[in-house]
Amino acid sequence: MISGTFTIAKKEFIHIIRDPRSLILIMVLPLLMMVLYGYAINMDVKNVKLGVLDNDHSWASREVIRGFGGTDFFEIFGYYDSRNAIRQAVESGAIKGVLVFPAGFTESVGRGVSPEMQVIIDGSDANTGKIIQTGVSVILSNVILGSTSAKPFFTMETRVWYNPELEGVNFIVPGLVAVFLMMIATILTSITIAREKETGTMIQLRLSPASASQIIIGKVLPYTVLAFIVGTLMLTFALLYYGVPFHGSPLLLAGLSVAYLLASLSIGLLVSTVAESQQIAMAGGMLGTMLPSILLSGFIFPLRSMPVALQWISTVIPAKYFLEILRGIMLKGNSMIYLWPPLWSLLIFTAIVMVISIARFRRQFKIAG
Amino acid sequence: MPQKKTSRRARLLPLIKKEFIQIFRTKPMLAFIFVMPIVQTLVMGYAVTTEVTRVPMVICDQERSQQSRQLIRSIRQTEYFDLVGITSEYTEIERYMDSGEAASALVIPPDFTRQMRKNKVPVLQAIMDGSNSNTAQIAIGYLQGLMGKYGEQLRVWYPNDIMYYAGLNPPIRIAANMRVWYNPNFENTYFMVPGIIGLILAFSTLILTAVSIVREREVGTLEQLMVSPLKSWQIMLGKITPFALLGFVEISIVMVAGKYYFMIPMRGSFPLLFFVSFLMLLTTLGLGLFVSSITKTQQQSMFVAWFFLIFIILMSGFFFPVDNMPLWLRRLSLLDPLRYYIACLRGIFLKGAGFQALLPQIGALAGYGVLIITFASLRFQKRIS
Repeated sequence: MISGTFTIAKKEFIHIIRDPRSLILIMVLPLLMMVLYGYAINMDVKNVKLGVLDNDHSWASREVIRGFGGTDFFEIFGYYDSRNAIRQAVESGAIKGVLVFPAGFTESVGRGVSPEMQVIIDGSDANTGKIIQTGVSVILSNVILGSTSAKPFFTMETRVWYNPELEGVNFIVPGLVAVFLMMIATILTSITIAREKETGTMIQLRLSPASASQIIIGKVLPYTVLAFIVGTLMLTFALLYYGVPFHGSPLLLAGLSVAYLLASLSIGLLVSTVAESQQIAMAGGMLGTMLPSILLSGFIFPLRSMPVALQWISTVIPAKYFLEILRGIMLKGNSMIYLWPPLWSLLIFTAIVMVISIARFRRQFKIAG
Repeated sequence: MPQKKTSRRARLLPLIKKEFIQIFRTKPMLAFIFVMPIVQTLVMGYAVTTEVTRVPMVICDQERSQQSRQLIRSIRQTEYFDLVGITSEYTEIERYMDSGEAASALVIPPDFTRQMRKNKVPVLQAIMDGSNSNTAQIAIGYLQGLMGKYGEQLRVWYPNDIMYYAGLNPPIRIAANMRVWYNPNFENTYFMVPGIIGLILAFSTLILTAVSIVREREVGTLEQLMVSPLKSWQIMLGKITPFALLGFVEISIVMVAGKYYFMIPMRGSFPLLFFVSFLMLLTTLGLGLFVSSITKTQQQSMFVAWFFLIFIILMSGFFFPVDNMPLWLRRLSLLDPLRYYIACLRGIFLKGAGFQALLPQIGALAGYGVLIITFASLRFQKRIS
């Protein structure tokens, strides 16, 4: 039983070693991408460019403009003198919003009445548009025209746990590790069986004394090792290059990540039993894992804001659970108590997918023989 | 001469036909081509949102008074926060946060009301789970806004009560009349779906082109093509034409889904849209050819194509705003054709932008398209002959 598995594993291992070019690609590309992505993913809305149409030219309008210019949220990009000029600037995307002061804006201030102005917001990017809208109201409510002796009823102080400086990389980088690992592992295994089918070596496998499940396990083994090495490389890189904190136990993480790798590899295997050619296997494996892992894992986009149907789908996305584990161990220093639920989910997922793949493979195996 | 020309064309057509047959022969491939764009559009249309709602919150109410209950009610009423627990023990917060059950906490001090009555300023404490730095930042903003409103509310509820009325001259507020252009209801899908067209076009054409040519080389059928009377440019054209057509089919599928399912307004012109799509196709097909000319096996070309794709998607501003990137990355993003294409798509769909408004983007797209496809086809022909 075990010897059969090892023979297959050895054969697959030779396949990997014989193609050093691919091996280097598998090791180097993820690191390159981590550099790019670590810097590029920044969801903060900052330096939103605003235009000004000031028909009042008064101390009050200047006071408001100064209020906007004084933050790093907004940036006064330019002054315009007509509605047409504004329209052009917004349409070309040069500015995301406009402050419009009507003539006589200041007059009412002397009477103690709220002056009225207009704010135009480019809503085409809904997310940014909403944030801009909130930002405008916050800044306008902080601009004080006229004297006041009002004092707040209470104040609020904010503390941030786990990532006190709110460093984006501490949030993004663990996510990158999870997503890239998933994609690499799937692409790797997705071709293993499809290759045998395409090149017609399935029959040779049939003639070997190994059983279907031995072959499957033997095929997964070397890739588990390979993916584990790639994962370790990525994490080491994250710690050294980005200085992401690591509060928990590395050993615990190493153990739990094996569960994640198995889950990812099993998806690749399943794809491989479905696909007839390597091309389809890889395209399918990539599509089937890349987008779900990016979109539905909580990597960046908050799951709780999505429709319930998508939240349901996210429960079968392994990356979601690995992210809980990864962020939990690295940032929160979680111990095993809080990590049982994601671990169980990963194990159950792997078991189900593996059983389906072996069953499918066994059937194809018989046909081939 | 004219006779020769027709015979050449007659040779090219069967090749294109052969490619089509090869593409459509398998069911998974059909699914890949027709079902995936729809699934992708549906999922991405809804999932790509940075909006933060329902942040789970635990409240540590150390006062348990009418006042604190009122404050809790004001938080319950919003959809920004989801109250997952109320406790009076400060240490409980840690359990809630460590387990991830709550991502934010609010602590109401035991002397909250007493201090206000004494005309002092009590301090509420907000705790945020920073491991999701994004959500934390936005949630802090929400909470500040909510508490500010609550303070205003107190002023309204107790206008004459000297204990609560902290100031004599309330500040003059500016009344802002907000107008939202192009997408007044802030529909996220209006912004996402045009971008998805760009994504899917790049995705399918680049990968398929890259892998299919390497596959012929791997299986050995490329030699057969080479010894055929076909010129090398004909082989190339024959290989990429089906993928170009497929690209058009895919974006049409997404467009129909966008218009009739997501009800996205199309304010611009379709001919312009197809024109820029054609320019974009030159780039993605060119990149596919290029990848196939530098790789030996399907797996390698898949990896390299994947790398190109991930790069151009990242830098395109589809998921992540380019404006937030550091300067060197913003410069690098100027090399990304998808960036211009998505800008064109969003401009045409939402703003009804015309040729003139998009001239810089179209110019860049055309430049890249011609450059890349020329370079790649030269390389390809050299490899072949």
